[in-house]
Amino acid sequence: MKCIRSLYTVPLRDVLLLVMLLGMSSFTCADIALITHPKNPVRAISSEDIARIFSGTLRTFPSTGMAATALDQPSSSDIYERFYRLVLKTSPDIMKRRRASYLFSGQGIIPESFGSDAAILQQIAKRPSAIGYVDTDAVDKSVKVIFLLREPTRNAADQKSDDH
Amino acid sequence: MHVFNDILRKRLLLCLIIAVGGLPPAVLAEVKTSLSGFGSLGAGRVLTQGGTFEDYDSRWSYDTDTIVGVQLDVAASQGVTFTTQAVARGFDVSDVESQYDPELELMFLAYQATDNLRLRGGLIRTPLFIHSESIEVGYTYPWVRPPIDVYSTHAQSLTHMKGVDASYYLPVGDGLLEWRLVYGAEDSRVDAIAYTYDIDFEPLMGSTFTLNWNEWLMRYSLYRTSSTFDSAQLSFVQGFYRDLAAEDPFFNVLATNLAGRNLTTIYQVLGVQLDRNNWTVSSEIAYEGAPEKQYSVGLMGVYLSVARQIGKYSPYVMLSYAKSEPSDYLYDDLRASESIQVSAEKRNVLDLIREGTYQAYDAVNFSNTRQAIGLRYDINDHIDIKSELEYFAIERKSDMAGEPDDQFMLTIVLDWVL
Repeated sequence: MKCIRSLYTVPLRDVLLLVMLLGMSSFTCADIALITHPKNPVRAISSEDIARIFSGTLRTFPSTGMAATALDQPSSSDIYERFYRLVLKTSPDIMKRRRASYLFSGQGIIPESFGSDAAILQQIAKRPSAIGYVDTDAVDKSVKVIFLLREPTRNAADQKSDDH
Repeated sequence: MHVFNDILRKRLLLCLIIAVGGLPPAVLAEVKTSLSGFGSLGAGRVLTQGGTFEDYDSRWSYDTDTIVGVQLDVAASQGVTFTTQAVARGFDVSDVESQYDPELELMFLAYQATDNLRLRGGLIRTPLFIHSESIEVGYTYPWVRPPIDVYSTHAQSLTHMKGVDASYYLPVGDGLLEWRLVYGAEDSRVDAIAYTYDIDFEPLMGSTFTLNWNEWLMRYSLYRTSSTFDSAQLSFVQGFYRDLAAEDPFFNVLATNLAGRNLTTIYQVLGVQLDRNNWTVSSEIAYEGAPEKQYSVGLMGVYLSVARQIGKYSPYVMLSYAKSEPSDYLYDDLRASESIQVSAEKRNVLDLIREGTYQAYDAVNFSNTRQAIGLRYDINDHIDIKSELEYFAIERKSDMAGEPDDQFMLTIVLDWVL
């Protein structure tokens, strides 16, 4: 109530600006969708298992025994940076060293990288064992979403506006 | 021993081929193959007159830190993978005469048995240290080379083995704990300063715990091995003491003190690494207990490294310390033998041999401190270049002829992964 009252006192121009900024932040911080082939038996997955699959310590989909083939976005992309920061709490530079260490210590093959959301969607639609991540806005019917990753800052902002 | 080793490797390869060939067609249906490579091109020189380090001296040379490697991975569905890796080194502690001879480094089959259990068998690496599994790949660590006070030449002879391991993964809060059990054997050769020796580790077994928890990596390794070493130089001296035992049986004790048969050794390594806000802080401490029988030497090493990433640049500092110490009884027995009277014709030779024995003990009786500053520059996602200025001071029980107690060394290395 206090919040509503205070809003009344804010000039209309500032309210419009706030709405625009919120809209922009929603646009620039879209959620990340973890996707698989529609025929993949996995319906949902935990963030811990996502971290294990993309760091290579889990090579099969949980409880299925089915090999998991992780597909990556380009290491220079914004979504790559956000994905590894949210899931593995690490930066792209540290990730590329870890990947080299992982590969050449014989732990396994590192994820194949594709140039865009569209390329990832195309690959996932063809390969039942594949798992990848794309911007939620890019998801279409050719794939299945098994997890949604959300930016903590955005969640906090959402939480704040919900409280209001 | 090397012929035996070759036969073992051929048999291992045959078993792996049969194993892969014997996999059900469904498993082989989805096979993914990956060929990758890595390497380092190093150049270095010791800036202190008369100083040496590995193959470096006061002139620029290019072999010590130069290495090229290729790796083939074949991944079938259902979590079965085959990995093999070969490297060619410019400088090899196991054979300083061989340069750029290709050697098999890895060759194993791995199987993801359950979501949390992975099994491997073949030629694998012993995961003693944080970086021991990718020790050949300069791109993976911040320094020109891993701190040798911990990643010592002796420990390097342990980094490979023919055997099996089982990794069990256990989620712990936000982190993941990997518990690895390892069992196998290894034989290798070390070209040490005072003498060359072949060493067999059989069995070599132990366990490594690795906890990845957000920006933290913690690792503890505990390994036990029974080792036997042979050295032509030491065998000659042992033979002389055994002959002298006819005059006084105490010389048998001196012969035994130069032997290395079924020595039980415990290795422990504790490591921690933190990656936060572009800072990487890491430290490892390694301890190898003296077996307290025969040729008994204890080792410990520790390092602390701090690196800061600023864009493509990563300056770092690294401090390390190592101590190697033979058991006291080796010197005590040798000193006690000085009061034994032997025949006149053998006395002069005995004095020389005894002096040589003191030197053999002194060669492994030292402490070492190192300080290094360096800079890594990431040229792109596959190539970096590093430069390091290192100062190291060695305190020995007795001076090595012509070798300065402290030295400065400059190294430049270009690393790549493909």
